Amino acid sequence: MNPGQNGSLTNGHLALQYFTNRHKFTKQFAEYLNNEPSPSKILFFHGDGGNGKSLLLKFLRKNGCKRFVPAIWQQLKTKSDDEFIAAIEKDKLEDYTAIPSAILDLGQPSIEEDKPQDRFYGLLMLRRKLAIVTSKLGCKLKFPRYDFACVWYLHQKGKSLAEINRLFPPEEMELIGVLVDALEHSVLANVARAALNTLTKHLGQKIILFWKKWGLDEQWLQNLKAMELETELMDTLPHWFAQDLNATMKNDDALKRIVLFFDTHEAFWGKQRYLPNQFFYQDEWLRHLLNSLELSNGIVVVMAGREPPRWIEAPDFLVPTIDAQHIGHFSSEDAKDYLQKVGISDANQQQKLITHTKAHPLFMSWCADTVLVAENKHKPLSEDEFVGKITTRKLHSRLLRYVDEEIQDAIHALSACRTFDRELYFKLGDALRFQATSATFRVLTRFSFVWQDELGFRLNDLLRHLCHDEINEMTNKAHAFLEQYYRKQEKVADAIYHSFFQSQERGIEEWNDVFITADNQRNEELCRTLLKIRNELGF
Amino acid sequence: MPNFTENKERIGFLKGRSAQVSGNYYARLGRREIAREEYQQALASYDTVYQTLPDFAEAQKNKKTVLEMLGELLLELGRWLQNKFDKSTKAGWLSPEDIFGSNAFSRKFTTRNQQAVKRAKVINLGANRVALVIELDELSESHEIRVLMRVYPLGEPTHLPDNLKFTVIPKSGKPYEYLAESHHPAFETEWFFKRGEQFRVKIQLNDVTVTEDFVI
Repeated sequence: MNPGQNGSLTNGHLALQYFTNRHKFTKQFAEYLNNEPSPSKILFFHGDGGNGKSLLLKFLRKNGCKRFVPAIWQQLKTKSDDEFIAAIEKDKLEDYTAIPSAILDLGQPSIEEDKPQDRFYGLLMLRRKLAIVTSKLGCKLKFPRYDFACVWYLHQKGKSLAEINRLFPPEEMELIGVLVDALEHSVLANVARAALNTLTKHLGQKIILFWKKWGLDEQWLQNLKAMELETELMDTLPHWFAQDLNATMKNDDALKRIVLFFDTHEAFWGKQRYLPNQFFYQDEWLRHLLNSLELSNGIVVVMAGREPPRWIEAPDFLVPTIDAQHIGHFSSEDAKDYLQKVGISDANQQQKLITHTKAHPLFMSWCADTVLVAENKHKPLSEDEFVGKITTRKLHSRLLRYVDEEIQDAIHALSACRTFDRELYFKLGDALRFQATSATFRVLTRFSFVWQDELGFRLNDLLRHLCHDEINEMTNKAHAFLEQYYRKQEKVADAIYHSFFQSQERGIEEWNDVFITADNQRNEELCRTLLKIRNELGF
Repeated sequence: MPNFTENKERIGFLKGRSAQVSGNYYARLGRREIAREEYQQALASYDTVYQTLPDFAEAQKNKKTVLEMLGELLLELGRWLQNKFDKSTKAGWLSPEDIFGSNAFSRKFTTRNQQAVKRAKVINLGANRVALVIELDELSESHEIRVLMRVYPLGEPTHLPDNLKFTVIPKSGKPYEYLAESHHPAFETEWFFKRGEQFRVKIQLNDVTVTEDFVI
């Protein structure tokens, strides 16, 4: 296996093939899904960056979301961790029910309305993801309070039906259409005065029955109408989301568990961790959601972050008990297993890499990249490559020494991107005159430091920082190109991000001007996006 | 505009400005604690610029504005005694009649001093809403200010929710936490302050806490 030809080491999807170790955590997760009663704790994996937390979450989501037939579970749970993993890998479809799950990666950069950290759009992303997965499994989750409040908010903010529809799962389109229609005919805008029978006339008996079933009544609608949009309503959305999910889990006998995964918890803070109130404000909506969820009804929350959360110090929305689990380095056996899987089978080579990286998963995958690139190019690694103290800078420069020049240029250019896709890669190649081809794109996206998710590709943050520290000309040119690229698309916050890397002064000055205008115009969405950028850039 | 020897000071000034405008944003949303942090960060940036460029007038002007904004985050109760309600109205402090309706209020509220100033604010505690009513007057002998604070339920049910905590935290002094008696129609506590004294009120219902900062 070779990153230059077929493989990838930590690429979001392919990396799961190389998933190693963590048997204890996989079994523990299975206990959350299969033991009764459902544990009222949040499973939180913490550990250094690059230890494989994200991969663990993806692995658990793909392979571990299973609720076994009780008799099978009774047998499984008595097995050792290793036996347990071997057994569940061999399980038969009739032995278990697939459990719906959704993952929100808080470290994923914001694209369009996909803003995982945003107080409003983050929760909506989760709602959409849950709808996709549950419809695949043939069940449907209902979020009547939450959906209605979101539609109300968006309509009040002047969003069109098309814009609102885009934010909701397709199966809700009909309901959203009826609600927006009612809002546009001012029926609900005057809801404080509107009697239920007036609503019935405009919305149809079916919807009203549905609302009544879910406990929505005139009083609830009146309360909603009385709420200040950006403060009271925004602050209550996580509570309604949780209430709706709690109700589903309580009332749906067939749905025994649902799993919510949250990855990269530390991404909430960017570089502004040191301000105490700001600190607790950033993940407030998430705390509010977790605080309102009734875990005992079968809602399982699994999170990953560099440090265990400091929620106990938070002034409000105390989160239920946390089951914190530390994710450390690989054991020697697991490290060998990993290297074997990625195609490094020579025992001496394996031992050298394990000793050199101390079995740190990220470092080991970077070293494996270098070994595989060198082998592919028939450029043998010198004997002293894997001796001495390991540093990320050393790993980075060593890898770059073994790749072709166009790959080097591409890595430097892509390090300017918060996220990229094939199209942007080719555009960068054209503009900065490095050879961007399908073949080089394949090579690049198979390196361990390139992560893929449903929205595109990302370079590891550590590598991006290293490229920026070098003050590389290609990276600088890429920022200049990207600034213009986003200006043409009228994505001012993204343009400011790239302008900051060319000139801090120009970037902050423009940020201030745009923020003041957005604040004056009550463009809350842009204000929040700009604050996120400021947080990320640390000014 | 001073001559910037290097753009370090200019960047410092711009960072201060970013913190200042972010503070304005949070203050507008009623996030006083975060607004205060941002303003303090802005002050620190302007002070750093001042050390190198003491004649940088714009930084000085902005610093003055930030200090004023910080002051505005504290509700000046003394102004109420002069019948000045402009700033507090913006922060949601209205006449009790505006919140309860005149008839309902007169039924609920038995005043201790007809001349005392009374203002009220709706406090949102998750699914529950209450009104904090403050009655204020100056004692003629001691010149102390009497502050009577009352909490009323709003809407249904007509009694206070269970587990409602009310804490008064004087800037210089010991905090007092009260647990409002559940199912009572109201809670009240009376305090006496000197002019210039600062205090904080914290209203907590289960996991939701709302704070209000005052200066006499």
